[in-house]
Amino acid sequence: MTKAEFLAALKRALPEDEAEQTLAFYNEMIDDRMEDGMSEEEAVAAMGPVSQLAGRAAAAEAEAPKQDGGDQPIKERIEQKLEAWEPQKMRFTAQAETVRDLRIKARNMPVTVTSWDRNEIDIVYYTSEREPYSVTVDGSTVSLAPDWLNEDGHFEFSFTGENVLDLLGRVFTGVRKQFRLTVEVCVPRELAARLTVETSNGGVSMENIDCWGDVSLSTRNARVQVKNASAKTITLVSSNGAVSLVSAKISGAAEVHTSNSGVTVVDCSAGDLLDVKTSNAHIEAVNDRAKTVNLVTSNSRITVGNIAAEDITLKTSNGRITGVLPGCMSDYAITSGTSNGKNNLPNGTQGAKKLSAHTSNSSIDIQFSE
Amino acid sequence: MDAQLKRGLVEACVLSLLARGDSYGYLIIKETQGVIELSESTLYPVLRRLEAAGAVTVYTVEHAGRLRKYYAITGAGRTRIDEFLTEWDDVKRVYEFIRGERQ
Repeated sequence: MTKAEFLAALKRALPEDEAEQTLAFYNEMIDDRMEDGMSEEEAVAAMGPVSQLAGRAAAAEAEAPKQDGGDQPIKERIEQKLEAWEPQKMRFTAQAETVRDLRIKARNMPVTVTSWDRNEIDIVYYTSEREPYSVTVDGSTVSLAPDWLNEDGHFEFSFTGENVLDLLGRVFTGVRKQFRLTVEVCVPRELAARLTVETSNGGVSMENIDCWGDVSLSTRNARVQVKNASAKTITLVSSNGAVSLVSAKISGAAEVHTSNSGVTVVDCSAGDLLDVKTSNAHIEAVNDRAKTVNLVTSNSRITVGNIAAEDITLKTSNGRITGVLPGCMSDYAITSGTSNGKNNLPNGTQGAKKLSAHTSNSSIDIQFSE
Repeated sequence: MDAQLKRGLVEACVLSLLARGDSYGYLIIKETQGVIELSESTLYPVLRRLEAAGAVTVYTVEHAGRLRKYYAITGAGRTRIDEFLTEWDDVKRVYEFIRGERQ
């Protein structure tokens, strides 16, 4: 685009009485860049899209000089910031059969996913001037996402006076309001879509849903709970938050990862792998079935009851490994070991199934049902 | 990022630069590079606002056969820098108080 074309396009995009100053500014900017060695094309491109420039320039013209609060005490100004944060409850509804990919992204808010007897997908969320959220539909993909995050998903922040006030608002707001708000998603019991939920500092739960696709639920510093569900694969991720998977039927792999918090997997089956990882906290797995079961933690105990799998790995440190496995001991090819503790398992036996149990500074006590 | 959030910082940077000497649009962008990423579309509204608020004045200089707008800081502009710095101190105290309480 030439400078003349650019300026003509900008002029068309601006209200008539505001165009002159703005055009003079950009005209000078392009000339200066060309004088500095850029080609006309490059200098024009450096200005950015005309629509954006026009919007910002028009806003600047329309706006009165900003009052920055003057002598008002800081406390009152923070209070004002808080008043400005009034979340508005929003509801998005779509016919379930039009959705094949459902993505929920939130921040500092719990997310619940439950089923109802309607053939619609319903998302209740909260938006505000301070923390705007929106739902977008792109083909068969429905996404709820915060509008204030940049593309990397990070909140950008500069330490200016105003921004710090804003931050303080967020902090107080977080304490006072944010944790009360929950993103509530309702879907049909049979959900013919994949489901992705990502939040932080708020729990994620999913209950009574048979999902045809992959399910991925993640948060930080909060719980993840899944109950009465089925899915193609399931990935549950938290950090510093407990994770539980109860009564679930997964046709592929089930991965459950957290840290510094316990994991419970009860009455679950996975066609492929059941992979549980945490640290500094216990793992309890009861009545589960999978091809391969890996339960790995540290500094805590592992408890198993009736785990049916061809290949079972139980690994911890400074914690006991206890429980009951189906069949008799001779069904398993066992490798086991601990240091500074009792171990009732043999080591190096033959069997059709594999069992590996290792800890340290603690005991291993595994019984067999037959 | 929300342009409004960036405003306080950009305004203070531009004023602070002008406190060191009059300047023109492209030079302001170049001289604040590395401190803050300014685009033309960000700078223009900022300069307009500062001008409207009386924090800067504008004059035109002929350069290489064309006109160039120079911006000069006013007394009100300098006061604004001081206000920004004072405000920042206030805010820092509250910020540190909260951090201390939360940790």
